Amino acid sequence: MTRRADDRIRRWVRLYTRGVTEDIARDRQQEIDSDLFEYRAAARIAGMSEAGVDRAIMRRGFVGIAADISWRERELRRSYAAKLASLPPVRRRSIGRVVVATYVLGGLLVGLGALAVVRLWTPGGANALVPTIREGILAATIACLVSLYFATRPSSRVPGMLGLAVAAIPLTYGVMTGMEGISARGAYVLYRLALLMPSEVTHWVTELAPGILLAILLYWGALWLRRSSPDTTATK
Amino acid sequence: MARRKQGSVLPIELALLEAIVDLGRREEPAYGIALARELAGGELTNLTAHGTLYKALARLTERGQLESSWEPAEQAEIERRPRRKLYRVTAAGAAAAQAARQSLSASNPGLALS
Repeated sequence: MTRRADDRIRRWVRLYTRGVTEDIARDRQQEIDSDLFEYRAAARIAGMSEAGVDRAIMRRGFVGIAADISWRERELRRSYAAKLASLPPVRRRSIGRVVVATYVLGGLLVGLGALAVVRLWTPGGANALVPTIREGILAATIACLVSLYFATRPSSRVPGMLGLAVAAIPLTYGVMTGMEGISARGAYVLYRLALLMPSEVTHWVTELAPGILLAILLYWGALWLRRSSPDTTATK
Repeated sequence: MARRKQGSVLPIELALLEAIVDLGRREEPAYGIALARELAGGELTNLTAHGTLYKALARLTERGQLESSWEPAEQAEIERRPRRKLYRVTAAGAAAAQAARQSLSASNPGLALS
């Protein structure tokens, strides 16, 4: 009798219950064990072929993947919320502020990147002096969007923030460099700003400093959150 | 995604509540695979996916519309199989199912006759 399908489903169940509160994870694993066993027993009585049983088991597992992932996300969120509630109010508020600040900064970065992409791709809006800038901005915007998504999930918040920190540098550099093709007003502001400082630091201040500053802020926030937040994986 | 009204049930949840009641009427235990087969009309093909089935059962249990318990280990040992997690419909579950049925028949009067 082949049990490869059962083993694959069990491996998948172990994978998606990893980090979920221990008794809830054990419940799910045992329930699936019972399901697989009883299905195979019933199929044997019904005279189904082993290959047919394997296919049916794999199909049930495959079709339910999205529901499994969504169940896992919910369990992790519940576990995280319970742990967060057990922290002192001051710590809880601080964590909340850092999370909100991350959403705001991430949202601004994505918004800025999206605006730049739209402007640079609009016919007549592209800056001929920087033809590769828009592809770079697009890639950095997508990286920011993906990182922001991860930053919204408690279990991947810190890696998401680190991703945002990394993507912030090329994104803001691209936007600042390609400002003439993105916004005339923005380019004028940068020009006026450049007049206020020595020419040898202009490039650093207007093109690199904003991204580096954002990256430092996000990096610091991620490290602080890693030290201060409750562990997102459950142990009980 | 819009939040559901408190006490309301999804079609699969209503089907599960009804399947548990039906199994109870026949004095049969209501557990995972038995429920999947009940939803499939007793067939072994095209059963509800593991993820969909157990997520819906977990949701109903969490909302207090179902109660669950593991059968005694001795029973499973005697029959040489893994333990089953048994489900029962609570009063809240019965009320939610009743409300869902009424809402369905109000929106589709033909259903009430069938």
